[in-house]
Amino acid sequence: MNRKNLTEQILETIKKKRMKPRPRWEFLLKDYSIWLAGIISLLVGSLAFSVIIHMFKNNDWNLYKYISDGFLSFVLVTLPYFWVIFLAIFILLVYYNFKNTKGGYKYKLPVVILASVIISIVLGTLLYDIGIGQTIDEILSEQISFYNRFINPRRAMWVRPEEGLLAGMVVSVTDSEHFEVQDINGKVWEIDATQAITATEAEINVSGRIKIIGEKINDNTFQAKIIVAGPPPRRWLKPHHLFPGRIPGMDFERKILPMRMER
Amino acid sequence: MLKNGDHESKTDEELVALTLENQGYFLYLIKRYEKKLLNYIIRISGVSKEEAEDILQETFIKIYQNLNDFDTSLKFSSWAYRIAHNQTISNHRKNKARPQNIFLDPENDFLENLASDLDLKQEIDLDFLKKNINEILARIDEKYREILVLKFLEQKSYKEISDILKKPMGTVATLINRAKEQFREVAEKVNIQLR
Repeated sequence: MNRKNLTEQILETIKKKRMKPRPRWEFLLKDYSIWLAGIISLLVGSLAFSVIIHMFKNNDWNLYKYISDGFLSFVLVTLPYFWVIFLAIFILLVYYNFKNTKGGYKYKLPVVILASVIISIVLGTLLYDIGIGQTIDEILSEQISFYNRFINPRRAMWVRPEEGLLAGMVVSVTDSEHFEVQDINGKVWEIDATQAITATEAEINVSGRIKIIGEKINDNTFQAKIIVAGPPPRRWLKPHHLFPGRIPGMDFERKILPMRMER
Repeated sequence: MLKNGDHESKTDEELVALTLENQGYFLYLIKRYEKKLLNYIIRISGVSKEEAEDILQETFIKIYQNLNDFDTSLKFSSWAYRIAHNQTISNHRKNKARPQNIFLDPENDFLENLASDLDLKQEIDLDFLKKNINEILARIDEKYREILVLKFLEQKSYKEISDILKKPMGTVATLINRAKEQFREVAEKVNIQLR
């Protein structure tokens, strides 16, 4: 096959097989799909980061000695592993999609990863700021049975009255030392706070969310020793009542999260 | 169609636009690149001329089918070399075998460019290097051989190599340095004393 023949053969093949350039829209569709997948991955990663901030900020850092054996074990138990891994996966997906855009090859892996992380942090912080992180965490906690068991056991840690821990929403107030709290399983407790130290930010008002460290007196009464503020009500997709349904896997948490009350 | 010689004044990009309107203009793009791409395929793969022509034919068909995907921020030549590179790799994967023989035209500027860049001119006998160049290139890794071919034989810039191989410019620079280092090592093994 000489060069003249080669040229002819290429043109003949094109004509014989009636080849046409693939339409431009096919390439544009592919490009836009890759960009869209990258942007969605970035958004999902940012949502994960907003949940991570929410979990860090509401991790009861000042109470760790009441609810775990030590700071290290507290950190190890409460780190948001799932969300960190989730974030990492979606940052890799951003990288993969970006590398497959037309100009993506021009950038090195560390640059793309760093840019993805920075954008996820900035966007995630904004999403956290408008309450999205809390909403995601609480909705998953309410709707998905294994979420409280494996992903965020911290919320369930606070419904162990036998071990001196109770959290819930104030449903009625007699006075600042006598009121009722509905826990996340829906059970209403009479709270005796006559000997309690109450944090200033804790709202002893109807609908106020609080966490109590104290002692179970009987099946209906709980003696409070320390009262702190719970998470504020979420701003999005509010439930009809604050703690609907039971938290699945409560017994499991009891086994995996040994508690130590200092009395 | 263009009159004789008119196509020479057209840029590659203009010929691409004309080809999209009329298939016949593709002839001029083929003529402009067939020799360059054929040599490139042979240089990076070491396949026979017949096999390289088959790869080249597939390359031009891919170019034609994907004309609407041509990114005008690139040089057409970079895009065409990229498709030739991909087609060669694809062909190589099908055949699996590593090429054993690399045949470079001893009269080309490759050795002059490479020796100059490696600062070898004073150190070695270029004639001796010319005699052994095919053996040296056959021994070095394909990825390094290709980058040496692009840099010193095709005389592509870092930007063009980056666009052809779809690698960041920094990575291209690193690959070129490593390729030169491996070239030195292999050359020393074939008893060419380098500095």
